[in-house]
Amino acid sequence: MREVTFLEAIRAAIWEEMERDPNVFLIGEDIGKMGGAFGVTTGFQERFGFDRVVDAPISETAIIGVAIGAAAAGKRAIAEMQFIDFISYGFDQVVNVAATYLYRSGGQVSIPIVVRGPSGGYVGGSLYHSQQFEAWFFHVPGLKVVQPAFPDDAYGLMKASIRDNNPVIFLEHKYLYRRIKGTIPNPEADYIVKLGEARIRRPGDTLTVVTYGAMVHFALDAARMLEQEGISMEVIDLRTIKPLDMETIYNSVRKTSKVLVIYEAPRTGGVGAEISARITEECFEWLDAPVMRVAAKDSFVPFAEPLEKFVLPSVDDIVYTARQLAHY
Amino acid sequence: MAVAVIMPELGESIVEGTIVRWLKQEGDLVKEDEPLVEIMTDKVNTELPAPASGVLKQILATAGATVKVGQELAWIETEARAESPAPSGPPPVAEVGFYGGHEEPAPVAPAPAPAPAPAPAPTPTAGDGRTRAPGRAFISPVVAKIAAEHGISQDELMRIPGTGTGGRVTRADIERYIAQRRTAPTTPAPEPAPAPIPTTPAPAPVQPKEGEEVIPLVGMRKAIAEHLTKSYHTAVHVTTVIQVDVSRMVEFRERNKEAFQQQYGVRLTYTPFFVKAAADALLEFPMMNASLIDDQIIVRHYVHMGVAVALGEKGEEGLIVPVIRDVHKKSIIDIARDLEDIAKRARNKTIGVADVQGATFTLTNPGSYGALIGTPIINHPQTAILGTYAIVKQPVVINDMIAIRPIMNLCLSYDHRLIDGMYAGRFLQRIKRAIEEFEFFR
Repeated sequence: MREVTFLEAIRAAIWEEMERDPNVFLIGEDIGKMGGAFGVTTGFQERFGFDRVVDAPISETAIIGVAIGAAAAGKRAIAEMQFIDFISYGFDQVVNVAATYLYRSGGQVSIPIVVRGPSGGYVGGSLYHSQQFEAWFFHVPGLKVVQPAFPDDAYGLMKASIRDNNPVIFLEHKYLYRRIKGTIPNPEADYIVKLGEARIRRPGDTLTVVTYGAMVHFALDAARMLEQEGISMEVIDLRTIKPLDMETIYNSVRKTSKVLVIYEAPRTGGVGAEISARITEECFEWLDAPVMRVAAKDSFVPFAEPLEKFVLPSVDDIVYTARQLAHY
Repeated sequence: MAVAVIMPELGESIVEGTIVRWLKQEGDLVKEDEPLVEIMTDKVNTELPAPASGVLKQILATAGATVKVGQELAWIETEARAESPAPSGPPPVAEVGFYGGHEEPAPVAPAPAPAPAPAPAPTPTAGDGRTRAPGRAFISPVVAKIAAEHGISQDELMRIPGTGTGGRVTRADIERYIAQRRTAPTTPAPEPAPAPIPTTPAPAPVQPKEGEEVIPLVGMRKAIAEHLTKSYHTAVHVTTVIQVDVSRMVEFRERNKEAFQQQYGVRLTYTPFFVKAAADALLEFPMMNASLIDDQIIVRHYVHMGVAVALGEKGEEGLIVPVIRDVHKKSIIDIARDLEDIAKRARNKTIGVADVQGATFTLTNPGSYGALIGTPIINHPQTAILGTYAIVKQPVVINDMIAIRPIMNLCLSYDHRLIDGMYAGRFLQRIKRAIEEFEFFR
């Protein structure tokens, strides 16, 4: 076992996969000598060389395009977005090329790429360095979307994503990079967290919280506060946003009959809206209250700290809505 | 902003009502149009909806109070925003992990309320500011499912103490109830005593003597008592009786009742004919269809007929008078359908205030329990009431011969202030003729 930060867990996973499989390579802006904007790939170029740690020009289209082409030819590519916000430049490559490749080729060509990058707010990053883009890719068939909340999951999910034969969008919440520490297994353990499996991070019976990413930690904070009021929150960490582990959610809903879905992205059209819809479709007879959501306001993430706090969900928002739900 | 809850005009004759109970308590969240308070009025209890969404800040008229139309009953604070209704426990603190504790904008100062107002009460809202407040009557899907699985009836469900918002029965409540029922199978499940309905002022308690019991005058009985007293003290009652030979009507019914049921799906009784005959007569005798209110006579050229319906096997559950509207435009079949509908709804208690309001004339049928003759009391502020009594075979003289005919007494009580004897007599003659000639289907 090793004690690592969230960032180090991701770093370890990529390193070990590159050691294990010579087909795995990295491409991204300033990932070589500089080690990436957050230092995830520091030292990788020295170890794996220029061919496997490729510094790319500032073109997300090119980065993802090269990754796709290489993957089609048998490589496993990890494309880094310096900030996940910039994936929009490579949007066409992701949704029209990578996502559709297997389908278009009649099942002959799969595209094992991981498009990874720092995601989310709460760091004063303002509007182009703070977004949560999961909903855009959640909507597209052929993609998988992952966002871990703890180092062990980040480690196990990154390994699984690299080994997966489908394009995976891997969102690394930058707020967690150095704040969250935990232990991960040693390399020999070959620890994998299967994609598509949620994890109950805290059991409870008053209400079910379904969330992912940094919001898992917010929800756990809220759960600790509400525990003193006799409100027992079950916190489900989705870990994989797509495909969704609905069975874990439904089982919890059948237990608590009340659900709060939390996501950091703007409320409208968010992943939580889909989760809410599925719960009402499949578990309507088990509900004792409306499925409720806490999400960001339908706004951009402002630079000014008080405004950022106002727009993004807070622990208070969660406590507030959870209480309402508990007393409904 | 504070919005007053005003005692509305619940009917033309209603000037006051009694608060039966508040469905929301001070501090509760209320939604616009959500039932707020139960008010007892003209023979039925009605639920007054909230005029605005917000927090029920102050109740000015408590249960049992008699309130006049236009009186303020409560205040709703519409923009209050504070904590959710957590019964206890610490409020969220600012120094939680991550980005906790954002500051709420200071609430907008409420408009000055005329009465001393307590501090703004909690207003829980959803993340997007919508308010959430199910009422006591709301049954969630899971509660409905559990009730169905355990054979708990709607009535039983409504007696389970609810701990949810507005007294709603939650999943936990019904599960607790079922668990208690299971552990104590021989004793009936605990039922909460119905909320007492105090009257104001409370009467001095009467000590019952041996063999006596004292029942407080509440609810429908009280409303009936007050209404009849008012009517009896206002109108100058006179009753005129006329005998009607109902041979053709009886014969028609005997011959057609099965076909009628088959063709129209409604039981054929005599009442639709009485309603129709009276409605036609009322158009010709509009003063009988009028109201004397404050030295003005309101004459209607339409007929909304109230039809008295006794409740309970022996009539022990009181009586209400639902209204069939625009009977002058309706066919016998329409009327028969309406009658069946109101009788059914009256008995399963789904009649609302609107259903008992606005009658211009009332029909009562003591004949259904064999009464031969009587003096009905006018349904204030109407001017007349027609009683139809038992049909009895009697020897009658026709063309100087004695024949046996089914005979019925029609007793019309009317307000002698507006109606003179001859007008009443002609009116009764008109009805008598319609029934005897029996040309309803021509």
